[in-house]
Amino acid sequence: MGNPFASATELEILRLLRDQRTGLYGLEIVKASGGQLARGTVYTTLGRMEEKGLVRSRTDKNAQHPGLPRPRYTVSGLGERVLEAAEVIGLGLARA
Amino acid sequence: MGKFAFMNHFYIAYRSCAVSISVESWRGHAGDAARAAFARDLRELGASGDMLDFEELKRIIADEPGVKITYTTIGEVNVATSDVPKRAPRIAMPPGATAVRVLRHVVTPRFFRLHVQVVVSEMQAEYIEHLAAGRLAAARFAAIRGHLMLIAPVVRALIPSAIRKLL
Repeated sequence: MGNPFASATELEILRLLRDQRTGLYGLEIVKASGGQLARGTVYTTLGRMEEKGLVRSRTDKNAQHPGLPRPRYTVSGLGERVLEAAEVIGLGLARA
Repeated sequence: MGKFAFMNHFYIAYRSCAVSISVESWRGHAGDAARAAFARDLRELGASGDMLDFEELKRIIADEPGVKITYTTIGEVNVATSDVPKRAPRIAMPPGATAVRVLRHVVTPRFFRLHVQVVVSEMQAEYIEHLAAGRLAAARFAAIRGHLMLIAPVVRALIPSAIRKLL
């Protein structure tokens, strides 16, 4: 497993994914961020997060659209723990 | 209306339909020249797809005493070329198909799954979504933007391996 620490972008993506338990496509993450995240950033970061094990992707084999299967991302157990830890640290820093 | 002559049954292609026309009787003076002119007029009418002319023809023939014309749509034929916009979108291959074919041989399967597949699949989904909504320019823009987004991860993957090979 790689580096478990998450950047601000990764934490933002984890927050968005945690709110959507069914998972989100990359473009949906971009839209849900309300313009905070650019799509290039999201695609690059999602790949890195999957390498780290923070998110999981699954593709619908029975999708009717042509082309490559589109991955849908959900937050993994590790991702949830990283997000919780980041929020606890963030709250602690805010109180200090 | 002397040029219209007796003809039993014929078809014309009108808009996207094949139309069957039957003329049951004709009491006017008929001759080969008039018959040929009538057939030519109808062929031109079918080729022009001009509704006003067609309606006018039906009215004229219907008003002619002793003539009964029936016309039925017998089924759709290929959409008339005049009805198809010249720049209508036709998807032969989804955008990025060529890039995918090339990149499958260039990058590792893991890199492809993590970094290429997401960009290409999202580009294709967005492209098709725009096309379905009739936004051709937006679809093209999505395809171009998707290809540009592929450059950075692919370069990032290829440069280290190229350097390793050189060393």
